[in-house]
Amino acid sequence: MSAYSTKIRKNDLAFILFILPAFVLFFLFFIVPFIRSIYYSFTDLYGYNRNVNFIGLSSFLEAFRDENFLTSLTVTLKYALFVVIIGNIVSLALALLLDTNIPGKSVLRTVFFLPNVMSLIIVGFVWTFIYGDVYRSFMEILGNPEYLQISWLGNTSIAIYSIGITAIWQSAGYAMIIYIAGLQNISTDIIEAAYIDGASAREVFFRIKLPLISPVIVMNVILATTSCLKVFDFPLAMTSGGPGYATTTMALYIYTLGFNMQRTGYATAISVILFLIIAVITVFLMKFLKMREEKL
Amino acid sequence: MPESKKNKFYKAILAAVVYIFAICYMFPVIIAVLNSFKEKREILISAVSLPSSLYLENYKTVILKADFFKVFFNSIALTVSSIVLIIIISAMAGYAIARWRRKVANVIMLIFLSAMFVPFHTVMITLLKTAKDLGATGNFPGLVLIYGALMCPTSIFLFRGFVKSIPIELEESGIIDGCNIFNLALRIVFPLMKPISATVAVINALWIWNDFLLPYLILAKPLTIPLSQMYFYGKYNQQWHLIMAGFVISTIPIVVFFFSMQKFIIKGLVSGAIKN
Repeated sequence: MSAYSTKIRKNDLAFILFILPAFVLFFLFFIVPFIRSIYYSFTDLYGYNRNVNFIGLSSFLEAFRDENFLTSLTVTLKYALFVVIIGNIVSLALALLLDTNIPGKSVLRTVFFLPNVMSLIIVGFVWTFIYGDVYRSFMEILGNPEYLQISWLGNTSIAIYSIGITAIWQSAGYAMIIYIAGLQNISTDIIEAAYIDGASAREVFFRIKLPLISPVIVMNVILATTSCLKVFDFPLAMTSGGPGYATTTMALYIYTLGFNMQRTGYATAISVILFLIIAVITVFLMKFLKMREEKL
Repeated sequence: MPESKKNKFYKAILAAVVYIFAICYMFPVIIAVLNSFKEKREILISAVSLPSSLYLENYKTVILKADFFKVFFNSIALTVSSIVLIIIISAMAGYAIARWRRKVANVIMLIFLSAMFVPFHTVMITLLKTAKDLGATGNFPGLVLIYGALMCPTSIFLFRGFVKSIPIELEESGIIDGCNIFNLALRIVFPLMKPISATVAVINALWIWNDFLLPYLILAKPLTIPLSQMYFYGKYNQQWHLIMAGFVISTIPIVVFFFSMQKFIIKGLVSGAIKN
């Protein structure tokens, strides 16, 4: 370290000036709202009422007696499990297929990635149309068989999975691209050596490729899990949370409570619960990722 | 050799399956395009038939009723100005955090990064309140500043990593030539940042262009493409011929953008995801 750089790298005033614009904005529009959210979650704030009472943990206790909240929690978890697991299997399968020398693979990659650049809201509309009129037209062609009469978005037990299928369609290409990048990082020497030693394609996949890309899998699972737990646009566009509360995810419930019912205090309490769930899951998955890396 | 023949056959089957799957994958888009050329009663008869003629009336209605061109330029202006702001503030902060030899620099980075654990919905209600208090609602400049605040942590992290990979000798030689720190940043470091700025731009562009909730809360008027489509959908409920035309026309710009910068976008998304 030369004297020159030491001198300049302790030029506190200059560095503070460089950081200041970002930090001021971040402070005003992130730190302040975040602290206010935590503060309000301990109050009974209603709409824009100025009369605020501190009620401690009451809102959190209420949440665990609130059936609609518990529904939103299970709906969100079901959706996340479904989309994360099926979505990652689809993405990994596509990545493996497109990492071979199949003709026209760049066109195929584009096809699978394309839904990812579209707006979630508008994709939601198209799929609402598909689950409704398009499905009905298909059934008419097939002569309306009884066992295929499915109300994709109207049936309380399957609507959330129908939304999940849309989400997988929209996001699989993104995870696929990351998987392809991971697979291309595996040296071809290892794989060729394995084939020369007489390994089958299945063995190469399970014994070599899968272990080597496991950090990529964990990373994709983290990305998908956090985004699934926050899902908002799809249920808003496709079902508005219905039928009943069957597709009201946590994010949508926070929105409904905060803006439609004006229950600001209670809504912020639920938003803090959502934050805690996401933070715990992310930290847990990151620890898991680190453990795997140390093992390898 | 029978072995390789079998192998070839197997590969051809596999390719066929992938191609069929790819066509099925595009089915929603194909259906949307087909139905955007139909009249309402034609969809009622069948939503999976080919359109009987190239009926363009739906597009005309969408462009006029949803004020498409105005909304389109709003979306472009919003995305471009947000990205410019994000790049400027993040490049400055990322440079400073990478080079500042004080412990506080790492603390500041951690404060920014902790935001990545916080879902938007946790700050949504109070962000709207705070923005109202500061007069940042109902106008584009306010929304741009909020995007700057919410998108800068990841971008700062990427810029910081990039600066750390630049040899410090470059800056030292600048100091010997008599540059002060501002000249150093402006003349030596920032010009090197072009590739990472492009990555940051790409990651943020797709997100901001398609974002619905934040502009919905802050602007509360159908001023960007996703917002205008949502209002349009509410107004013309069940008028699928119009909604599908809306889908096609509002998706074309982003698809064109994607095709023109495909390699770039994919590289940016991959490096962004891995560094996160």
